[in-house]
Amino acid sequence: MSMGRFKYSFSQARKNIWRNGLMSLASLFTIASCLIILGIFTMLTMNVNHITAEIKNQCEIEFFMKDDANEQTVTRIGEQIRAMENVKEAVLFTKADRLDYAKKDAFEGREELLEGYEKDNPFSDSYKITLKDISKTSETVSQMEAIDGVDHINNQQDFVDLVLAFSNMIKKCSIVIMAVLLIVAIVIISNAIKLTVFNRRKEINIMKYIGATDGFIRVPFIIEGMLIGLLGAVLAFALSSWGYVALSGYMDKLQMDLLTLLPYYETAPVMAVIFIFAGCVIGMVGSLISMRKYLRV
Amino acid sequence: MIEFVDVNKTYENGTVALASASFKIENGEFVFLVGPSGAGKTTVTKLVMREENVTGGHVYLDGNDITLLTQKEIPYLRRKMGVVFQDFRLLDDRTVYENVEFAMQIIGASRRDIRRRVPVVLNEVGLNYKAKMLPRQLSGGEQQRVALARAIVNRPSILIADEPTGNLNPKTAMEIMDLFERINSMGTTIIMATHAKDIVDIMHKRVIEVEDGAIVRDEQGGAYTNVDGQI
Repeated sequence: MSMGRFKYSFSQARKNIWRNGLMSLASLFTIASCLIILGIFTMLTMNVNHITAEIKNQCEIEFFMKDDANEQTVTRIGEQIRAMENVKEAVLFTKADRLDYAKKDAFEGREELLEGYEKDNPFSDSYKITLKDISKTSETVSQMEAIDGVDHINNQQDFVDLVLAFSNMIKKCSIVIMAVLLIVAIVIISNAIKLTVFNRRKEINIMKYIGATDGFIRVPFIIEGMLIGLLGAVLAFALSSWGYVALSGYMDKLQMDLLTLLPYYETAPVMAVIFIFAGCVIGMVGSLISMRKYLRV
Repeated sequence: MIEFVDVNKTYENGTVALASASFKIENGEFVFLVGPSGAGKTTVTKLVMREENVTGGHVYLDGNDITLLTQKEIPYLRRKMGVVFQDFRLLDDRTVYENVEFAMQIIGASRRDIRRRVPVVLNEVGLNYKAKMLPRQLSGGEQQRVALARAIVNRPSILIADEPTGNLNPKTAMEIMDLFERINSMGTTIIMATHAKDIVDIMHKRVIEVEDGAIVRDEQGGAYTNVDGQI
């Protein structure tokens, strides 16, 4: 498209938006509303992923060895565990460490209750293991149970399953809702532009008689749709940014470790790209749909 | 040259608009299409502009069969033609100048060409001094002059007019016809579908009479009615 033609199409699009002021405004707010809801679900998905990742990082398996495990056995078991494909890290937690921990943490101020246990330590040596993929916890635990010298293994399988199921559900719901919203927004803007096209059917008709190509007729309407979409995206971005920052501040005040939201500077670029892309696509597809009928001359 | 060869046109509702119509129009001719309402006059103009396509036969323009054009090629065919309607079809929210300019913008003319050409054409139709007026501020005759200016601004080789004087009083209609004649004298082929008996009789141009989709008369220097007083 030549620069002159683009300028012509752009100025026509701008004039159309102005001429159909109320309808354009209604479309703009509709797109902004749809994008805000779309944004809420995108942010929800991003934060669920973030929280899931946090939980994954904090999820540990603890491998307890039999009481009679000597130093060689402990080292061998450590090597076997670390050799497993799904093991990210395995840190030895000796019975002495555990007794110290108990004194400092659980029995703080009443350490005398644990006196004498140094000679006859009732705890077991263990490995605290972090996995690469927590969805494969049960398979990894099964492999560990086959290691010679295992006493028992503590894992948080039920909790892990719950977190994974919840995060999957949120992702699936978000995808469905986002798809529905996109369709709704396209239908709404195509109706709005249909009105513009209807108002200008005479002009389109004359254009066809004079020898305008379908592309030439379409471009101003496509630009009009995209401009409305873009303005809707800017409005949606401003409102959702304000909402996100406010919610983040509120969540921070609650001081719940696992429920901290992703920082705004991480979500903002994603939101901006999604809003601008979705706004433009909604506007463009809506315009194309609404024009089909009037190009048949 | 425009040539209709054994053209048939039946609309989807079964109406037969043209049946085995054949005629030739040479470059630079002035042709009236006459006949009762529904006879098929407008169908002839629609087939020339490829607003409709034939259901049988061929329509040639300068030797090319335009019935074979694809949808994408049709706009380029129409750029060789200008069209004038009975109801003027001007854009109400644009000035006289903008209505004419619009036709040049559509075919991608440069701003420089537009600035040069539009005043010349407005001058030709005698409306230069009303360039900034809106169509509603003009009389019917003036509006038709604007439509005529818009039709010729891209220098078409063919000008198609469908009842161009239908909404005008006799005096204004004759003024418009003078303009058509002047345009024709510069080499533009004119095909005009009309019911205006007085005009056809005065102009003494070629008359093609259509009745029930058939060409029943094709007469050089003819009148609206033939010697038997038909129509």
